[in-house]
Amino acid sequence: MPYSAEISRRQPTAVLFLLDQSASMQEPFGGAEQTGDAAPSRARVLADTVNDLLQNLVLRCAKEEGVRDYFHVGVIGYGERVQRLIQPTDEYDPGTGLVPISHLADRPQRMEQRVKEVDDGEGGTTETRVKVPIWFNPQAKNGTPMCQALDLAAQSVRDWIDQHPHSFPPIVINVTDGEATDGDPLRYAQELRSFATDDGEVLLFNVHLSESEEAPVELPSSSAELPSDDEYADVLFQMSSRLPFSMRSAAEQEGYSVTLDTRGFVFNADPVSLVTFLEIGTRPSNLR
Amino acid sequence: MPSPPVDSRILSVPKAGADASEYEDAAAVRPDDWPVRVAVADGATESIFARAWAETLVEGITAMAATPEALTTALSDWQARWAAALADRTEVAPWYAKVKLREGAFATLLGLELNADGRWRAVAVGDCGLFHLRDDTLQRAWPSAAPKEGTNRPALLPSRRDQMSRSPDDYRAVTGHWQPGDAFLLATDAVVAWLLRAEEQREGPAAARTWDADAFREAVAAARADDRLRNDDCTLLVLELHAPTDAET
Repeated sequence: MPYSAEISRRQPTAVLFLLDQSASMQEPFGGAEQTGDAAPSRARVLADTVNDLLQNLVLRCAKEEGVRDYFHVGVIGYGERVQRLIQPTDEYDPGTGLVPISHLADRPQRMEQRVKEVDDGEGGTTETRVKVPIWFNPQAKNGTPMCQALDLAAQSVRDWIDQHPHSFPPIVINVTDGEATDGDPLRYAQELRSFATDDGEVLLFNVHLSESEEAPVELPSSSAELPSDDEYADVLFQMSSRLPFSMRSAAEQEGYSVTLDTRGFVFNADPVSLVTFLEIGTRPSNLR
Repeated sequence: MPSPPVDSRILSVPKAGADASEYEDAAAVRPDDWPVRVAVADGATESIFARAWAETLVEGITAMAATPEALTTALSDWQARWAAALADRTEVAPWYAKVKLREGAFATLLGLELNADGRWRAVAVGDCGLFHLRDDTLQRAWPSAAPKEGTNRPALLPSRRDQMSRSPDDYRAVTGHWQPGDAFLLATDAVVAWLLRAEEQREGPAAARTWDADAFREAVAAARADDRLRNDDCTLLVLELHAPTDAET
């Protein structure tokens, strides 16, 4: 059965984020204007969300002796230019742009203090200050060179697969708020998804961030669930892989109804559906 | 009073691909006096210091009554000692270890107690399991009596008080009677699921009762190879209660 490879240090998997950094990412989420001037930009929400998620991935791999390399991780930003936002160190560069998670863990750009609500053990919550790692900052400038980003991602996963031919295949998660300004992304997406390990083809998931107040369309199984007049939604739907078994289970646990045709795609995502989807999309299977 | 006429052995195999040092189950036996007490625990892989917590639990439960009430009371003490033991590590730990220490360790636990008068009782939190055998017939499998696809979210005992689940249903208890010649097998969840499925072909716990360390290792390897056994730490504790003829020899 595909997408069932055990994830271990001998056989890690890879998670690669493609983050839209175009100028429109300066705007808040659709509908957020009503919540006041302080509504953060989509770029800020996205950077915070992915930094949080990287933190959670590190924590899933952290044991008393250190961080186990169950994942190799990359982040590619696309806007003013297409660039890797996480760089391997000189002494350890596997050449794929994907960094073993222990290296990520030990090299945050900085630690930031945050106030966090925690369970007080008495049925209530209390506020506590925690330091959280930050690996990259929000950016928002120029166009949306998504095709170039997908192309760079394809180079990364192709090289990574050469080194890990039996692994659970790489998971690529593309988060964008607009249309590609450098060509037809479907062709690049198909190329990216054509690379495969013994365990299955590369998974490409897409999250489209909300510019409107419409409700999100989460994990659609057919393009009929999308807004009927939106060609772009349909392109992103076609670009997106079907969810493998383990992620369908994770989605069901989150309360979604799923089918064999459910795609890893959220259209018009608000911050909550963004977080939920990223959690589901980075649960390939149990770590061993 | 003579020592109880029991023999026990603890068989363990770490998950494939992991070092023995990464094994995170634990087992303990107190065979020298009545009541005889045995226990197994399974440290949760995603927590830190899971093995040390599992060892704390089996050492603790084999020194007290195997009841939910006694366990609830003792757990508070173990949690307090755990917090004290790790307090100075938190200062120097990297950021991720600090977070994991704050979350604490988690483990499932099953403790069994046998009295000289022929009664036994057990307490469990989570999906470790117990098999009671008489003449190679399964008298009882507990808390699960039938194979089911593993819940990945069993009830767990946390090392930190503020992580306590508030469900009293998490604490399970059972009682029964034993006779000389009976045997009890205690196992962690992957082995429980495997033996329950094998029982349907009549080669489960009764066969396991005869295993020594080599036989267990071979059986685990074979079952993993054809996907009958999930790749997880495997622990089997076998407790034999000798028949009178054995005791005389």
